[in-house]
Amino acid sequence: MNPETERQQLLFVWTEDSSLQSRIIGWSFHDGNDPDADAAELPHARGVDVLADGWRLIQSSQLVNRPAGDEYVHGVFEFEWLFERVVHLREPHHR
Amino acid sequence: MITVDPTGRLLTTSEMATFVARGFLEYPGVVPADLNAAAIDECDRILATWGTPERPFAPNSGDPWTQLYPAPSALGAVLRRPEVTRIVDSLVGPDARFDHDFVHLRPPHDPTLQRLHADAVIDPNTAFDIQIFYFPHEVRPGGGGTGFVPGTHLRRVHETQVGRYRHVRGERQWEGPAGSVLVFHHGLWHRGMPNPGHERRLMYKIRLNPTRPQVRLWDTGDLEAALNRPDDHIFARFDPAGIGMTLRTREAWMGEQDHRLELIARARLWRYLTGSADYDLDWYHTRVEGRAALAGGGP
Repeated sequence: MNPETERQQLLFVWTEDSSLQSRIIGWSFHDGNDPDADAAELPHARGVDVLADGWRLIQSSQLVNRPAGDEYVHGVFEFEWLFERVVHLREPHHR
Repeated sequence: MITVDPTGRLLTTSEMATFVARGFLEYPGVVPADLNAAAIDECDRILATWGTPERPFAPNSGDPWTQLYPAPSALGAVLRRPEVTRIVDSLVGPDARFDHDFVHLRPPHDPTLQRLHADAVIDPNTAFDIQIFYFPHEVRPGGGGTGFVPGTHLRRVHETQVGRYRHVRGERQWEGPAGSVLVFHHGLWHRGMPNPGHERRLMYKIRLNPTRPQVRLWDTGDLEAALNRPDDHIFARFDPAGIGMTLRTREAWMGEQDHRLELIARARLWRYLTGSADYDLDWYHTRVEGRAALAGGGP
Protein backbone atom coordinates (compact mmCIF):
# COMPACT_ATOMS: atom_id res chain seq x y z
CA MET A 1 0.00 0.00 0.00
CA ASN A 2 1.26 3.48 -0.86
CA PRO A 3 0.42 5.78 2.08
CA GLU A 4 0.84 8.78 -0.19
CA THR A 5 -2.04 7.77 -2.42
CA GLU A 6 -3.95 4.98 -0.68
CA ARG A 7 -5.77 4.11 2.51
CA GLN A 8 -6.89 0.88 4.15
CA GLN A 9 -10.50 0.01 4.84
CA LEU A 10 -11.28 -2.67 7.43
CA LEU A 11 -14.44 -4.68 7.86
CA PHE A 12 -14.84 -6.74 11.03
CA VAL A 13 -17.51 -9.38 10.60
CA TRP A 14 -18.96 -11.83 13.14
CA THR A 15 -20.76 -14.94 11.95
CA GLU A 16 -23.12 -17.29 13.73
CA ASP A 17 -20.81 -20.29 13.46
CA SER A 18 -17.21 -21.00 12.50
CA SER A 19 -17.86 -21.31 8.77
CA LEU A 20 -17.22 -18.34 6.51
CA GLN A 21 -20.36 -19.44 4.74
CA SER A 22 -22.50 -18.78 7.78
CA ARG A 23 -24.76 -15.82 8.40
CA ILE A 24 -23.32 -12.47 9.49
CA ILE A 25 -24.64 -11.37 12.92
CA GLY A 26 -22.60 -8.20 13.41
CA TRP A 27 -20.08 -5.92 11.74
CA SER A 28 -17.88 -2.85 12.16
CA PHE A 29 -16.46 -0.79 9.31
CA HIS A 30 -13.38 1.44 9.48
CA ASP A 31 -11.91 3.68 6.79
CA GLY A 32 -8.42 5.16 6.78
CA ASN A 33 -9.92 8.10 4.91
CA ASP A 34 -12.33 8.96 7.71
CA PRO A 35 -11.97 8.14 11.42
CA ASP A 36 -15.74 8.56 11.85
CA ALA A 37 -16.78 6.35 8.94
CA ASP A 38 -19.54 3.83 9.53
CA ALA A 39 -21.56 1.35 7.52
CA ALA A 40 -25.06 1.36 8.98
CA GLU A 41 -26.15 -1.24 6.45
CA LEU A 42 -24.12 -4.17 5.27
CA PRO A 43 -24.91 -5.56 1.81
CA HIS A 44 -23.49 -8.98 2.65
CA ALA A 45 -25.51 -11.77 4.25
CA ARG A 46 -22.68 -14.30 4.73
CA GLY A 47 -18.94 -14.12 5.21
CA VAL A 48 -18.27 -15.50 1.74
CA ASP A 49 -20.35 -12.67 0.28
CA VAL A 50 -17.74 -10.22 1.60
CA LEU A 51 -15.03 -12.17 -0.22
CA ALA A 52 -17.09 -12.17 -3.39
CA ASP A 53 -17.33 -8.39 -3.11
CA GLY A 54 -13.58 -8.08 -3.48
CA TRP A 55 -12.43 -7.80 0.12
CA ARG A 56 -9.33 -9.66 1.28
CA LEU A 57 -9.48 -11.79 4.43
CA ILE A 58 -6.49 -11.01 6.62
CA GLN A 59 -7.46 -12.64 9.95
CA SER A 60 -9.98 -15.02 11.45
CA SER A 61 -10.52 -16.07 15.05
CA GLN A 62 -8.95 -19.32 16.17
CA LEU A 63 -11.16 -22.26 17.06
CA VAL A 64 -10.64 -23.01 20.72
CA ASN A 65 -12.15 -25.62 22.98
CA ARG A 66 -14.09 -24.34 25.93
CA PRO A 67 -12.08 -24.83 29.13
CA ALA A 68 -13.05 -27.63 31.50
CA GLY A 69 -15.49 -26.37 34.08
CA ASP A 70 -16.61 -23.49 31.88
CA GLU A 71 -18.05 -25.50 29.02
CA TYR A 72 -21.33 -23.59 29.04
CA VAL A 73 -19.98 -20.09 29.55
CA HIS A 74 -20.46 -17.76 26.61
CA GLY A 75 -19.27 -14.22 26.27
CA VAL A 76 -17.89 -12.34 23.28
CA PHE A 77 -18.84 -13.40 19.78
CA GLU A 78 -16.57 -16.29 18.90
CA PHE A 79 -16.34 -16.21 15.13
CA GLU A 80 -14.63 -13.06 13.98
CA TRP A 81 -13.35 -12.32 10.49
CA LEU A 82 -11.27 -9.31 9.52
CA PHE A 83 -11.31 -8.15 5.90
CA GLU A 84 -9.44 -5.33 4.24
CA ARG A 85 -9.37 -3.50 1.00
CA VAL A 86 -7.16 -0.68 -0.17
CA VAL A 87 -8.80 2.39 -1.64
CA HIS A 88 -7.59 5.68 -3.06
CA LEU A 89 -6.75 8.45 -0.63
CA ARG A 90 -9.68 10.87 -0.61
CA GLU A 91 -9.89 14.48 0.43
CA PRO A 92 -12.19 14.96 3.41
CA HIS A 93 -14.83 16.84 1.37
CA HIS A 94 -15.11 13.86 -0.98
CA ARG A 95 -16.09 11.40 1.74
CA MET B 1 -46.63 -12.46 23.51
CA ILE B 2 -46.13 -10.80 26.89
CA THR B 3 -49.19 -10.64 29.05
CA VAL B 4 -49.12 -7.42 31.06
CA ASP B 5 -51.52 -6.43 33.78
CA PRO B 6 -50.38 -2.90 34.68
CA THR B 7 -52.90 -2.82 37.51
CA GLY B 8 -51.34 -5.87 39.08
CA ARG B 9 -49.18 -5.33 42.12
CA LEU B 10 -46.51 -7.66 40.79
CA LEU B 11 -45.14 -8.87 37.46
CA THR B 12 -46.74 -11.83 35.72
CA THR B 13 -45.00 -15.11 35.01
CA SER B 14 -45.00 -14.18 31.34
CA GLU B 15 -43.18 -10.91 32.05
CA MET B 16 -40.65 -12.72 34.25
CA ALA B 17 -39.94 -15.29 31.54
CA THR B 18 -39.51 -12.52 28.99
CA PHE B 19 -37.05 -10.80 31.30
CA VAL B 20 -35.10 -14.04 31.73
CA ALA B 21 -35.03 -14.68 27.99
CA ARG B 22 -34.40 -11.18 26.65
CA GLY B 23 -32.83 -9.33 29.60
CA PHE B 24 -35.25 -6.40 29.61
CA LEU B 25 -38.87 -5.28 29.86
CA GLU B 26 -40.37 -2.11 28.42
CA TYR B 27 -43.26 0.01 29.67
CA PRO B 28 -43.96 2.96 27.35
CA GLY B 29 -45.63 6.07 28.75
CA VAL B 30 -46.53 4.79 32.23
CA VAL B 31 -45.60 7.97 34.14
CA PRO B 32 -48.04 10.91 33.80
CA ALA B 33 -47.12 14.23 32.21
CA ASP B 34 -47.20 16.42 35.34
CA LEU B 35 -44.84 14.09 37.16
CA ASN B 36 -42.54 13.91 34.14
CA ALA B 37 -42.26 17.71 34.11
CA ALA B 38 -41.37 17.80 37.78
CA ALA B 39 -38.85 14.97 37.32
CA ILE B 40 -37.15 16.86 34.47
CA ASP B 41 -36.69 19.86 36.79
CA GLU B 42 -35.24 17.61 39.48
CA CYS B 43 -32.90 15.89 37.01
CA ASP B 44 -31.63 19.33 35.97
CA ARG B 45 -30.99 20.24 39.60
CA ILE B 46 -29.13 16.97 40.13
CA LEU B 47 -27.00 17.59 37.03
CA ALA B 48 -26.20 21.12 38.19
CA THR B 49 -25.13 19.97 41.66
CA TRP B 50 -23.62 16.53 40.93
CA GLY B 51 -20.80 15.70 43.30
CA THR B 52 -21.56 18.61 45.62
CA PRO B 53 -23.27 18.71 49.02
CA GLU B 54 -26.10 20.67 47.37
CA ARG B 55 -27.26 17.70 45.30
CA PRO B 56 -30.91 17.13 46.34
CA PHE B 57 -31.88 13.82 47.93
CA ALA B 58 -28.46 12.22 47.23
CA PRO B 59 -28.57 8.58 48.38
CA ASN B 60 -25.70 6.42 49.60
CA SER B 61 -24.87 3.05 48.11
CA GLY B 62 -26.50 0.45 50.29
CA ASP B 63 -29.47 2.60 51.32
CA PRO B 64 -32.79 0.72 51.48
CA TRP B 65 -34.68 1.11 48.22
CA THR B 66 -37.83 2.20 50.04
CA GLN B 67 -36.08 5.20 51.61
CA LEU B 68 -34.68 6.74 48.42
CA TYR B 69 -35.69 10.21 47.29
CA PRO B 70 -38.17 11.03 50.06
CA ALA B 71 -41.04 13.45 49.49
CA PRO B 72 -41.24 15.99 48.00
CA SER B 73 -38.80 14.47 45.48
CA ALA B 74 -40.37 14.04 42.02
CA LEU B 75 -37.99 11.20 41.20
CA GLY B 76 -39.08 9.51 44.42
CA ALA B 77 -42.70 9.89 43.31
CA VAL B 78 -41.79 8.23 39.99
CA LEU B 79 -39.96 5.38 41.70
CA ARG B 80 -42.87 4.72 44.06
CA ARG B 81 -45.49 4.56 41.35
CA PRO B 82 -47.06 1.09 41.20
CA GLU B 83 -45.82 0.62 37.63
CA VAL B 84 -42.28 0.81 39.01
CA THR B 85 -42.67 -0.88 42.39
CA ARG B 86 -44.17 -3.97 40.72
CA ILE B 87 -40.93 -4.26 38.72
CA VAL B 88 -38.66 -3.80 41.73
CA ASP B 89 -40.67 -5.98 44.11
CA SER B 90 -40.83 -8.83 41.58
CA LEU B 91 -37.25 -8.82 40.35
CA VAL B 92 -35.12 -7.80 43.34
CA GLY B 93 -37.64 -7.66 46.18
CA PRO B 94 -39.01 -4.83 48.33
CA ASP B 95 -35.90 -4.93 50.51
CA ALA B 96 -33.56 -4.18 47.62
CA ARG B 97 -30.80 -1.70 48.24
CA PHE B 98 -29.48 1.26 46.28
CA ASP B 99 -26.37 0.71 44.18
CA HIS B 100 -26.03 3.96 42.22
CA ASP B 101 -27.92 6.23 39.91
CA PHE B 102 -27.14 8.83 37.28
CA VAL B 103 -28.80 11.43 35.11
CA HIS B 104 -27.73 10.92 31.50
CA LEU B 105 -27.96 13.98 29.25
CA ARG B 106 -27.60 13.93 25.48
CA PRO B 107 -27.54 17.51 24.21
CA PRO B 108 -29.02 18.32 20.79
CA HIS B 109 -26.72 17.47 17.87
CA ASP B 110 -24.45 15.40 20.12
CA PRO B 111 -22.55 13.03 17.80
CA THR B 112 -21.06 10.96 20.63
CA LEU B 113 -21.48 7.22 20.23
CA GLN B 114 -20.66 5.35 23.40
CA ARG B 115 -19.03 2.00 22.84
CA LEU B 116 -21.12 -1.05 23.55
CA HIS B 117 -20.62 -2.30 27.10
CA ALA B 118 -22.01 -4.19 30.05
CA ASP B 119 -22.08 -2.11 33.23
CA ALA B 120 -19.77 -2.56 36.21
CA VAL B 121 -17.44 -5.57 35.91
CA ILE B 122 -17.58 -9.18 34.77
CA ASP B 123 -20.10 -10.88 37.03
CA PRO B 124 -20.39 -14.67 37.32
CA ASN B 125 -23.35 -14.67 39.71
CA THR B 126 -26.76 -16.13 38.93
CA ALA B 127 -28.42 -13.62 41.28
CA PHE B 128 -28.71 -10.32 39.44
CA ASP B 129 -29.19 -6.60 39.84
CA ILE B 130 -31.66 -4.55 37.87
CA GLN B 131 -31.22 -1.19 36.20
CA ILE B 132 -34.27 0.99 35.65
CA PHE B 133 -34.16 3.53 32.83
CA TYR B 134 -36.71 6.35 33.03
CA PHE B 135 -37.27 8.69 30.08
CA PRO B 136 -39.22 11.73 31.34
CA HIS B 137 -39.86 13.12 27.87
CA GLU B 138 -40.58 11.69 24.44
CA VAL B 139 -37.65 10.11 22.63
CA ARG B 140 -38.13 10.27 18.87
CA PRO B 141 -36.69 7.65 16.51
CA GLY B 142 -32.95 8.20 16.35
CA GLY B 143 -33.24 10.92 19.00
CA GLY B 144 -30.52 9.67 21.31
CA GLY B 145 -32.44 6.84 22.93
CA THR B 146 -30.36 4.16 24.66
CA GLY B 147 -29.12 1.38 22.39
CA PHE B 148 -29.23 -2.19 23.67
CA VAL B 149 -28.85 -5.73 22.37
CA PRO B 150 -31.65 -8.04 23.55
CA GLY B 151 -30.55 -11.41 24.87
CA THR B 152 -26.95 -10.50 25.75
CA HIS B 153 -27.44 -10.26 29.53
CA LEU B 154 -26.27 -13.75 30.49
CA ARG B 155 -23.01 -13.65 28.53
CA ARG B 156 -19.92 -13.30 30.66
CA VAL B 157 -18.12 -10.22 29.35
CA HIS B 158 -16.24 -7.39 30.98
CA GLU B 159 -17.43 -3.82 30.40
CA THR B 160 -16.29 -2.49 26.98
CA GLN B 161 -14.76 -5.82 26.00
CA VAL B 162 -17.63 -5.82 23.49
CA GLY B 163 -16.94 -2.25 22.36
CA ARG B 164 -15.63 -3.52 19.02
CA TYR B 165 -19.17 -4.37 17.92
CA ARG B 166 -20.62 -1.40 16.05
CA HIS B 167 -23.64 -3.16 14.56
CA VAL B 168 -25.35 -6.27 15.90
CA ARG B 169 -28.40 -7.71 14.19
CA GLY B 170 -31.45 -7.13 16.36
CA GLU B 171 -29.97 -4.23 18.33
CA ARG B 172 -32.65 -1.84 19.57
CA GLN B 173 -32.54 1.89 20.10
CA TRP B 174 -35.10 3.15 22.56
CA GLU B 175 -37.84 5.40 21.22
CA GLY B 176 -41.11 6.06 22.92
CA PRO B 177 -43.48 8.49 24.62
CA ALA B 178 -42.73 10.62 27.66
CA GLY B 179 -42.79 8.73 30.94
CA SER B 180 -41.45 5.45 29.59
CA VAL B 181 -39.67 2.97 31.82
CA LEU B 182 -37.26 0.20 30.84
CA VAL B 183 -35.76 -2.37 33.18
CA PHE B 184 -32.55 -4.21 32.30
CA HIS B 185 -30.80 -7.21 33.79
CA HIS B 186 -27.44 -5.77 34.88
CA GLY B 187 -25.60 -7.73 32.21
CA LEU B 188 -27.44 -6.41 29.15
CA TRP B 189 -25.11 -4.88 26.56
CA HIS B 190 -26.05 -1.27 25.89
CA ARG B 191 -24.70 2.15 24.90
CA GLY B 192 -25.48 5.82 24.71
CA MET B 193 -26.36 6.80 21.15
CA PRO B 194 -25.81 10.04 19.21
CA ASN B 195 -28.56 12.62 19.37
CA PRO B 196 -28.81 14.22 15.92
CA GLY B 197 -32.13 15.85 16.81
CA HIS B 198 -32.89 19.38 17.91
CA GLU B 199 -34.04 18.44 21.41
CA ARG B 200 -31.95 17.34 24.33
CA ARG B 201 -32.48 13.86 25.72
CA LEU B 202 -32.59 13.22 29.46
CA MET B 203 -32.64 9.79 31.04
CA TYR B 204 -32.50 8.79 34.70
CA LYS B 205 -30.95 5.41 35.52
CA ILE B 206 -30.90 3.62 38.87
CA ARG B 207 -29.28 0.31 39.80
CA LEU B 208 -30.64 -1.85 42.63
CA ASN B 209 -29.16 -4.90 44.35
CA PRO B 210 -31.25 -7.73 45.83
CA THR B 211 -30.65 -8.62 49.47
CA ARG B 212 -32.66 -11.86 49.53
CA PRO B 213 -32.92 -14.81 47.12
CA GLN B 214 -35.00 -13.71 44.13
CA VAL B 215 -37.23 -16.75 44.41
CA ARG B 216 -40.91 -16.51 43.43
CA LEU B 217 -41.19 -12.80 44.24
CA TRP B 218 -43.60 -12.08 41.37
CA ASP B 219 -47.30 -12.96 41.06
CA THR B 220 -46.92 -16.72 40.87
CA GLY B 221 -50.63 -17.45 40.79
CA ASP B 222 -50.33 -18.67 37.21
CA LEU B 223 -46.91 -20.27 37.54
CA GLU B 224 -47.89 -23.87 38.02
CA ALA B 225 -50.24 -23.73 35.03
CA ALA B 226 -47.67 -21.98 32.83
CA LEU B 227 -44.62 -23.97 33.90
CA ASN B 228 -43.62 -26.60 31.39
CA ARG B 229 -42.61 -30.06 32.53
CA PRO B 230 -38.87 -30.72 32.84
CA ASP B 231 -39.15 -33.09 29.88
CA ASP B 232 -40.47 -30.33 27.60
CA HIS B 233 -38.24 -30.90 24.60
CA ILE B 234 -38.49 -29.13 21.27
CA PHE B 235 -37.06 -32.24 19.56
CA ALA B 236 -39.50 -34.60 21.33
CA ARG B 237 -42.75 -33.51 22.97
CA PHE B 238 -43.31 -29.93 24.06
CA ASP B 239 -46.09 -27.62 25.17
CA PRO B 240 -46.53 -24.90 22.52
CA ALA B 241 -48.48 -22.78 25.03
CA GLY B 242 -46.08 -23.23 27.94
CA ILE B 243 -43.67 -20.71 29.39
CA GLY B 244 -40.84 -22.68 27.78
CA MET B 245 -41.69 -21.11 24.44
CA THR B 246 -41.10 -17.64 25.91
CA LEU B 247 -37.85 -18.80 27.49
CA ARG B 248 -36.73 -20.11 24.07
CA THR B 249 -36.98 -16.65 22.44
CA ARG B 250 -34.26 -16.40 19.81
CA GLU B 251 -32.73 -13.04 18.96
CA ALA B 252 -31.73 -12.02 15.44
CA TRP B 253 -28.02 -12.28 16.24
CA MET B 254 -28.23 -15.80 17.68
CA GLY B 255 -26.98 -18.76 15.71
CA GLU B 256 -27.75 -22.32 16.73
CA GLN B 257 -24.75 -22.83 19.00
CA ASP B 258 -25.32 -19.49 20.73
CA HIS B 259 -28.99 -20.29 21.23
CA ARG B 260 -28.28 -23.66 22.86
CA LEU B 261 -25.90 -22.11 25.36
CA GLU B 262 -28.56 -19.49 25.99
CA LEU B 263 -31.14 -22.15 26.79
CA ILE B 264 -28.79 -23.71 29.31
CA ALA B 265 -28.13 -20.34 30.94
CA ARG B 266 -31.81 -19.36 30.96
CA ALA B 267 -32.90 -22.71 32.43
CA ARG B 268 -30.31 -22.23 35.18
CA LEU B 269 -31.66 -18.76 35.94
CA TRP B 270 -35.26 -20.03 35.86
CA ARG B 271 -34.31 -22.78 38.32
CA TYR B 272 -33.04 -20.09 40.69
CA LEU B 273 -36.07 -17.84 40.29
CA THR B 274 -38.62 -20.62 40.68
CA GLY B 275 -36.76 -22.79 43.19
CA SER B 276 -37.23 -25.72 40.80
CA ALA B 277 -34.00 -27.69 40.84
CA ASP B 278 -35.03 -29.96 37.96
CA TYR B 279 -36.40 -27.34 35.57
CA ASP B 280 -35.06 -27.77 32.05
CA LEU B 281 -35.43 -26.62 28.49
CA ASP B 282 -34.88 -29.16 25.71
CA TRP B 283 -33.22 -31.76 27.97
CA TYR B 284 -29.82 -30.05 27.98
CA HIS B 285 -29.28 -30.08 31.75
CA THR B 286 -31.12 -33.36 32.36
CA ARG B 287 -29.14 -35.27 29.76
CA VAL B 288 -25.74 -34.29 31.12
CA GLU B 289 -26.64 -34.38 34.82
CA GLY B 290 -28.22 -37.82 34.53
CA ARG B 291 -25.28 -39.34 32.73
CA ALA B 292 -22.66 -37.74 34.97
CA ALA B 293 -24.04 -39.71 37.89
CA LEU B 294 -23.38 -42.99 36.07
CA ALA B 295 -19.63 -42.50 36.21
CA GLY B 296 -19.53 -41.30 39.77
CA GLY B 297 -20.02 -37.66 38.91
CA GLY B 298 -16.84 -37.45 36.85
CA PRO B 299 -16.45 -36.96 33.11
